Amino acid sequence: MNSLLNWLDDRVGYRHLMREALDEPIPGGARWRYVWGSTLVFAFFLQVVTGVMLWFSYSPSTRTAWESVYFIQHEMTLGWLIRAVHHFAAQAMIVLLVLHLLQVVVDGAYRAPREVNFWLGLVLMQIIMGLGLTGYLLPWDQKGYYATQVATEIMGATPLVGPYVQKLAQGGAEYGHHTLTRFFALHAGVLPALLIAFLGLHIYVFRRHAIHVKLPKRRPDETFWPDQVLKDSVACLIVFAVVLALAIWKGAELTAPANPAEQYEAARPEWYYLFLFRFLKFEWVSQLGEATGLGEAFGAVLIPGILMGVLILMPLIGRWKIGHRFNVAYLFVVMIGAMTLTGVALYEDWWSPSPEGVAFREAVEQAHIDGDRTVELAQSPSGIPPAGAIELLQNDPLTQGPKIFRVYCADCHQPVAMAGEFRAPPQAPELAALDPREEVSFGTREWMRSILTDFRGHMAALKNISAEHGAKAERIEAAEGILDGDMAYWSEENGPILADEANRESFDALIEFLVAQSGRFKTDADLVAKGRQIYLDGQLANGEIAACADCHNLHVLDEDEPLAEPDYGPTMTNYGGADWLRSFLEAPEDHYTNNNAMPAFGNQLSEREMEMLVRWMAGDYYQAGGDAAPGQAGSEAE
Amino acid sequence: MIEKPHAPDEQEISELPRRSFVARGLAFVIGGIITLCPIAVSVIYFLDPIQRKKKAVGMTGDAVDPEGFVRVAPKEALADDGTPRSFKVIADLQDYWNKFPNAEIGSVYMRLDGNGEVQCFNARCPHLGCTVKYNSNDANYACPCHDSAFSLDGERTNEIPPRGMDSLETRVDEDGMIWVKYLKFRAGIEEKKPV
Repeated sequence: MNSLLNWLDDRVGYRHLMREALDEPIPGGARWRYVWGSTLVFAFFLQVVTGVMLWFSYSPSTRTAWESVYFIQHEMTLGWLIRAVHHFAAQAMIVLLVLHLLQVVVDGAYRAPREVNFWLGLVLMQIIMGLGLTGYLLPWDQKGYYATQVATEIMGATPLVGPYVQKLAQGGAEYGHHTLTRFFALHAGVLPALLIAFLGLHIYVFRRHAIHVKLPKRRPDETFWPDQVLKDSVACLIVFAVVLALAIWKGAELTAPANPAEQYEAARPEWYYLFLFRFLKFEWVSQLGEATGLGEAFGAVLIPGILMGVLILMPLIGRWKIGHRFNVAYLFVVMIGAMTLTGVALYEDWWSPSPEGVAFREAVEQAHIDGDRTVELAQSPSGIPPAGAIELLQNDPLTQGPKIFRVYCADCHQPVAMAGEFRAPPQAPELAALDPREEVSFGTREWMRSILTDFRGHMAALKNISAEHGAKAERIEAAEGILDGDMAYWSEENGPILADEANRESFDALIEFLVAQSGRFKTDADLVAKGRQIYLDGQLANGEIAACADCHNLHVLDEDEPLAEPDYGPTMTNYGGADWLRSFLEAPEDHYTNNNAMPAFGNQLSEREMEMLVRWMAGDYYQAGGDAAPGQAGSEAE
Repeated sequence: MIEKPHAPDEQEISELPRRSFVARGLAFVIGGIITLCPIAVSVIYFLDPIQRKKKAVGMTGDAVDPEGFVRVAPKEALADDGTPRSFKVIADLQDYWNKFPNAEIGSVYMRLDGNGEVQCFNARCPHLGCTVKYNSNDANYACPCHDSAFSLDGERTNEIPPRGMDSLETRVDEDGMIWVKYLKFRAGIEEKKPV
């Protein structure tokens, strides 16, 4: 063994190299305050290792970026861990960078003859921040997309060169495939290469001048190996433990795929840019921007540029008598300012009861719901279509239905839990809670019971269709007609009979038969058969009711002949199901000829919106762990 | 020139306090842990294709039956005189995260043998995976890459390929449709082993 090492040493002289590297003297002994540079190198090592691994599986294009990250996160062995470590080690680098800078400035290590090394350090700082910025976009999720959009728009707002810089960064005027290929080339190629080159220079120059000793020396001299290495590696171990703990506990997030048409109110940069984000929010910053003619560039480029400029000048300022004190004070003031702004931004988003704060938290929650739903759909048998995961949410009734409902339906059919969020009181019964999205009360057993036993109570909201709330005479008349109509009287008369304890089973049977028409629920075949008879003749266990079939025509699905054909009340054929809903929404006046207070939506909704809305209400969408079949939906199973 | 502290010589090092042996050991162990742990995790991740149970790329969808047979073509499309014809195998393709409906998965040669039975070969050359060509002039199959040659019933006619063309199981359903159990086999070895 020894002769082999001698042979190698003769050829390459590694022992000399090792001694150069390891026997560096540390006057005054190893100290904890010297560890920051090494922890940064360690964090960068983590980034290189995990980054190369991610590189093996990442595909930069607008239709594969989110998808390949999804695959890493949810399908590959330990993919989630690799991604999470990369995510948190990146943030650790920023923290360590600041600590390293603080230590260098406080100890005065930036002064002659180490000025150039200080500047090299500042270059490294810019490269690391660039890595953070470019990496944030790569998953191509809503969060990264909108946050990075803000950054590139700021670039574009810079006078003169702005638009060119922006186009060069984005690969064109708009975000597209080349935005990702360019960001990826920067993130995985150019910036790491520059980082390694500048890190090499930084360490070389550092060794040239040896360590800047913090006086007074407290202990006898030691050497880098093993004394400082031990302290460094303990510090690195702590960094690693923190990164690993965060990675396992929090994980790296993947929100819904980027969608330029879907607003994302929770767009924020990574936390270490929050101070700048919050700074730009001040109105006086915008006003000064306008006054100086610099626009956004005033707050986003000029001011940070000046702050950075002072940092660059520190070695020169440090030559004056009070220069060093100024530098330390300056750094602390900037740090405290940035931390305060970060704190304010975090408070406003996560704790403030202001409407903006509430909206932010709701948007974050929604982003998580959408992200989870996309993953659920990606893992469904239909998988991710060739056009990408963005289509999964676009064609998902559970995602789109409630949104369409909120826009077109909820003003009248207000969810009870959302009372107070509307300008006028509800004008029609609640149909769905919207939160949770799966909960549709329309057409359920409870809905049917309520209509049959308490029609006026069920429809009470129709009273709000009044002149006071700006309704037209025709509609007011129709609403009054419904509340004073045949069904209201039927319910008044027959409701108590149905509610009679002795008729319990008969009532259950009738309800079962009625809800069976929609095909939405699991139903009991025996009860349905009994209910069918009651529908026809109204005979209950104890007494009788005016038969439904006297007024409401009904053609049971998949039967050849209609069951009842009176031409009086609204049809019960597929009541509560997708077909009934669609025809009702398109032309409600055909259903409620006499008293119709419901506007028609055939012309207001596009074909796709109609499909999404109807399929959502009818429960026809993919559910993980269950069937996608319409017959299985609903929270109704008793 | 800045004064640079000199590196300690042998004597100075031997005079270092005894506790530096403990320090050496600890530094070595901790340094090893923080270096090897991230690498170990990465290696496990890198080996994902070997550990993976579910295939990341493969046929799927309604065109494939549970035993892996794919509907390819009607039997009447084959010539009575035993001339082979090339057919594309079309099914839904699972490609990592994507599902491509009706994608072209591969191609096969089919012909009727002397008894009127369907003979089916994967068009991939068993030598090194190029696609074999049918030559009507010579009435044989030949590979354009390394000149592997096969007779119409798939037997190799030179020593370049390690085995004959890979025959595939077929069945004909009541509508006269040929279903092929489409598989790929490892190239370059004598044995016919599915990939």
